[in-house]
Amino acid sequence: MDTKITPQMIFEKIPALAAHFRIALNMRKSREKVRVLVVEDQLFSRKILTELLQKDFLVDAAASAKEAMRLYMENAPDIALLDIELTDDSGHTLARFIKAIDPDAFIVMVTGNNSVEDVALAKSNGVNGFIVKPYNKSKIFECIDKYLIAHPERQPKGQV
Amino acid sequence: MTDPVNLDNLHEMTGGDSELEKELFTVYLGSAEECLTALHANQGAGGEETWRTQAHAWKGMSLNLGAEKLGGLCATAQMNHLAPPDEKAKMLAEIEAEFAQVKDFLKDKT
Repeated sequence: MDTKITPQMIFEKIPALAAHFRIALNMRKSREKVRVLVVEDQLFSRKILTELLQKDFLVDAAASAKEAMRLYMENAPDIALLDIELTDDSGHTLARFIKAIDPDAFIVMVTGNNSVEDVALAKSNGVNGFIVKPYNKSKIFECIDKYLIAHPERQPKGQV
Repeated sequence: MTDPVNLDNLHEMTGGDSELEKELFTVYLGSAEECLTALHANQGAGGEETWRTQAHAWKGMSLNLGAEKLGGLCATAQMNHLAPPDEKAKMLAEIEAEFAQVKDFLKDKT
């Protein structure tokens, strides 16, 4: 992903995408299940997380920042779990992109590097959480609970 | 002697689904072999960034599997991606030896 690409550039070039994204954002409010976007370039780690989450949630999975951007604009997920070190770009860049198109986005950064720089950058990007690998069930569901507490209107009956 | 892999966390993540775990072990082993090949090919000058990203990737999946020692060795390799080739060869030998143990541990589980 070219880091100079802005959401405005994409939406100006592809107006239909902007329209589609607005519809997806509106649909998010009435969606029955919480939708989670998992962005992780490693198949093994992506599969673990996806399999865990799809028992309770709608899940989209992306292996790259580019694919994540497309899926985010197509489906307007409630929660995005972003690996920081992706093959085509940084998860931080992706987080900034998502916040630019969706200031209400709930983003959790996931990383194998618990570095001070990454935590500081994540905070400055306004993300909502930070998970250090290895994944475990309680870390993941704590983040989802945090989202549901902040957005009680999106808490489906009987879920979570 | 401690097992090279602690599967407690993975069992919790999969809800004890043994078929899914088999599938995950196969995915892990395939990806790990790819990382190993890439590390071998990138010990020399010019391969530093690939060495770092492959060590990082292997570290992440090893920690998620529960192979903590292997994950730690990969973390060391990642941190020392600028080390000279002879040091990298030593790191890689340690990684390979630990990976052999992990493979042995997983062989009757796939």
